[in-house]
Amino acid sequence: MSKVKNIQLNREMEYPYEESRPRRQIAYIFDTNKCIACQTCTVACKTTWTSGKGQEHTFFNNVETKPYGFYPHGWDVKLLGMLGPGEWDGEGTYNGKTIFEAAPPGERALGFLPEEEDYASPNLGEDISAGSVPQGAFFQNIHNIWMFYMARICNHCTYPGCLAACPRKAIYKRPEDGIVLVDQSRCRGYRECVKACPYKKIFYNMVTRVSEKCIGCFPLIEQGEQPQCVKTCIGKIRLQGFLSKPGEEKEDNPLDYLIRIRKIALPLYPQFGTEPNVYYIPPVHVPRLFLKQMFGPGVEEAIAAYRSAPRDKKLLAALLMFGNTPKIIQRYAVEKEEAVGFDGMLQEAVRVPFTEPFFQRDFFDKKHQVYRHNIS
Amino acid sequence: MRHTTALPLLSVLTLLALGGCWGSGDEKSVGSSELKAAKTESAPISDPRSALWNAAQETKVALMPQSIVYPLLGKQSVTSLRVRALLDDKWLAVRLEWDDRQRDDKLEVDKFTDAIAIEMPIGDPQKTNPMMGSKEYPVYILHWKAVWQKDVDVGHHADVQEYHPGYWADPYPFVAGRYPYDVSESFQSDNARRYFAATSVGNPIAKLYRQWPVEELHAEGFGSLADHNFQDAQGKGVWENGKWSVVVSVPRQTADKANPALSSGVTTAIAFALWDGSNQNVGGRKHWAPFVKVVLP
Repeated sequence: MSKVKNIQLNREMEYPYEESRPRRQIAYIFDTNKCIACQTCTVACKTTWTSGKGQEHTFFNNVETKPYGFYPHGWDVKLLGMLGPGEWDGEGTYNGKTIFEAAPPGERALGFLPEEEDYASPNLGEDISAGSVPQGAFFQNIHNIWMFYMARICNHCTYPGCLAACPRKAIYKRPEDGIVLVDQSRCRGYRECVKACPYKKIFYNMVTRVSEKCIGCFPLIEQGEQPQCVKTCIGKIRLQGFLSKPGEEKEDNPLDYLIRIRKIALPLYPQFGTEPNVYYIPPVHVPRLFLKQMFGPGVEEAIAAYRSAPRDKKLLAALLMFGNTPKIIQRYAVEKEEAVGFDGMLQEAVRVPFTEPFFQRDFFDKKHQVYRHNIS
Repeated sequence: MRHTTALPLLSVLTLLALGGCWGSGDEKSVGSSELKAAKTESAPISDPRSALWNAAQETKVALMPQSIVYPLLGKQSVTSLRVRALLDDKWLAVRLEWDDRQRDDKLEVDKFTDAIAIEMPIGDPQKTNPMMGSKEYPVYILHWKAVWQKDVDVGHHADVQEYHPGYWADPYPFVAGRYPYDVSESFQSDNARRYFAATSVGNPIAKLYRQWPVEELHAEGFGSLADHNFQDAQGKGVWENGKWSVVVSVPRQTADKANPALSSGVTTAIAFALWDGSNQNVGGRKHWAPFVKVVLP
């Protein structure tokens, strides 16, 4: 094992390979407060990549309801149970064991292989809240019973569990953008990756008899466009871009700004140790203890920063880059009352007003001689 | 990323030193150290139940759990193989038998196949590492899997509905024919095979049609396993009454330079690997036996 720096754990950790960060790292931000679980992302991904035979229960993208939704069944609670408790200290350092440090003898990582049936109910737990709403509470005030939707894809981890576990080195991380891929010509279907991925985002295909995973829509990325799941999100909860290497963050890169500088978006289960690169803006209404287990120690600060966005133009401008253009935004700026995003060629790709102009039409359309249902 | 954890050349060397390149001579503990091939007019290259096998001397080969490279085999479930070899002008046929209460010939995320492999040196047997060879001294591997045997026996690729009759998706883009859209028949066009990524790029594991249940492979060390371009080996496995009998046959007359030289009078070596599917054996999680001497008549 090598010693590598995990910036999410604020310490060095053990990993089977030496630290080798890509030139820039593909990263995503998902705003859980805006997700309505419409599954448009899921369908867009499935239609594009996993509509073949043998992929009936393969969802590179899924949206599950927390706390009782899982795909595959129990993916996170099983591993959390195996890993055992771990503490974050006051400096934001994780003192528990990662999946690599807790690897059993003869294994590269701590993990488990789901059963086929665990994939059979991708909507298990959907819309199930954390408890029952007391009778009458609906009419009295805001009640405290909660749930939230969590969209999940491959995290294109900096230290992927799948890559660490593959004995054939059929899994690789692209140096140009950090996308993690399974070489479909080399994989022999051993499923060590399925076992080791803590997020269970590698899938075994019983027809092709090899493992498959989210490819980050790399053909789109290579053309400067965001992935299918991001572009099709009708709730505009997603932003995809690139993170700079640690220490080289740029204030006008919306991903750098939101994740590393303002720390408004947090990694999912950072304690697993893979340094995942899908970052979540935590749901503001969920008990903090639950969120801390899921997103690490920065939850309170992230939510406070998120709540301040209406009064913080720079922050608001970054958030307005979500879902407003298919292009990958490399830098952004505030220009008077507008947020402006620029693509990889530094050409203007999107311009969004802080306040949408309001138009009101007449109730009766004289030209077509009809009444309008919607006039604003 | 540079790999930093090759287990332990030292462990390999220690193992070899303990066993000797030909394996131990202690027949009580590890079985025989020599496999004598018997000459025959026509070897039963795809018939493990032929009476001709009685003409060959049986060699008992002790198996060990793979404990050199990650991932290791945690639990040994098969202790030995019974091996016989027959030679004719065209083939070296090797029959392997072992007790296995459960026939494992399905592949799903949590289901693994029974399998065996024989390995032979391409160059000097005394210098070849029995653990997948090396760059200088590569090895020839002939691999048989129960799941491939089933494909061949039933005449088509195992399909989703064989395991789960109720599984299906609304659209399989560009598919032809009718539900349940047999994998071997309904996905013939390039467009229909777009979603079979591994098949489309020629991964031999993802073949949708198999003539033989065996695969010829080349290895130059751990993780280097690669298919021969030219596949001309044969084999067959039969499971009956809690026992597998599998014959794998290596062609003696082939233009393939990656095949071992099998001239009469040659003394070479053969090593074995076995995977017990119901114990989740796959890849490096295998049973193995180091080289035993093979004398070709």
